[in-house]
Amino acid sequence: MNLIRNNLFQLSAVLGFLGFLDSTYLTIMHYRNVLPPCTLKTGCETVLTSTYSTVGPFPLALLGSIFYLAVIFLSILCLFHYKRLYLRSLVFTVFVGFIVSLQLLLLQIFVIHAFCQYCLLSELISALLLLPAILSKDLLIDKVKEK
Amino acid sequence: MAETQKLTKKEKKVLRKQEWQDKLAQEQKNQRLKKIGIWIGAIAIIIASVGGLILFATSSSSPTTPTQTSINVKPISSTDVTRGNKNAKVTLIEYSDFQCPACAAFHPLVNQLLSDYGNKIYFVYRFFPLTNIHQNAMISAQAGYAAYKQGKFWEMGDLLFNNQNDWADLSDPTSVFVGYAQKLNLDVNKFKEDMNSDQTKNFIRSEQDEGNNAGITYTPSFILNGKLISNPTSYDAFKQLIDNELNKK
Repeated sequence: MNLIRNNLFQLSAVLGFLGFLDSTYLTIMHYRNVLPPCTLKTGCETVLTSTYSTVGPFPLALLGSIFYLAVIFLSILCLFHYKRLYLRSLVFTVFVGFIVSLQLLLLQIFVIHAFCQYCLLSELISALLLLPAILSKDLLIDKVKEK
Repeated sequence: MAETQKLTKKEKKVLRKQEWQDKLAQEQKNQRLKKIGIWIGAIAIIIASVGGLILFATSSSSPTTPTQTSINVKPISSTDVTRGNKNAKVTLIEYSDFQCPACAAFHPLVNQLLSDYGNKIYFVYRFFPLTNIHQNAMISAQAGYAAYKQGKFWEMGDLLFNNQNDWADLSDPTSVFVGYAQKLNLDVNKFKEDMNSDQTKNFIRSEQDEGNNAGITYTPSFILNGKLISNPTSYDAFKQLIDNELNKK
């Protein structure tokens, strides 16, 4: 049980790290005032420069970096200092991240009508993060039942 | 003799217990150190990856040579919206849409180029409203052209791009554009008339058709001395391209 659980936390830490790299790259490019290379011929720049790419003074990518950093931090906490509170926090963070990502994907499809590969990668990672989160949540429920 | 042996056994037991406790303490200590090591390692990896990304972002956005593809666009004529020195060595044509966020992002870069290079560059603005994805692309192009008719195209362009968020989502942005016309001291009645005239709409459509026929598929598209360039990722990269053209014999 512990081994499976630890593997799940390792998976979420690795996914969080990949997401962190993606978001941080976009954040750096934003503050350097430079558009990253876009292989999707049309739209990438449209998404990255749209009004939805910032929240107040902050680029959305920076919030993404903070989110993924939180996922890494909570995953390591669960891995080495396991407490139900940490697991709950991890599951909650991942779900919030997924809902925000889903909204951003819908924005690209229905409002901006354009896609950006970096954003799609981040959305994929936040969806994949659900896997360890859902499975660990089951472990959490099992643990409650055991008690 | 027997007592000594019994004592020895006891001693051995105590000794074993002690050894076991030491081992446990050592293991616990190792575990703690391992955890500390992992945290330090994780923090180090994150800091190193941020550093690596900064280096990567710097090298990938340094002035490199963006791709240049030959393209046959309409030759520049007297009907074109132009700026700068007609006889300049460098001609830059931009196919643009006032409602395109990327065009708005490039707008300050283009203005900076025009101010830095002055008479060394001839700039042509061509209307390419992406009407299928931007609801106000056409009407904003009409507003731009109506201002052009009164000699204030570039000023109107600045207002349209700089305030894109204010009108992009409006169901009818006409009043906003009329407000800009007033701000620029244009003849508002003529502006309104020109904005909605068939001649304006036909002119924009003809530029749009011409762009489509030439193979323009996105905005902004920049054509530098007859070659479609991939959009430079920084001002320095853009400047480098212009300098290359200026240095050609």
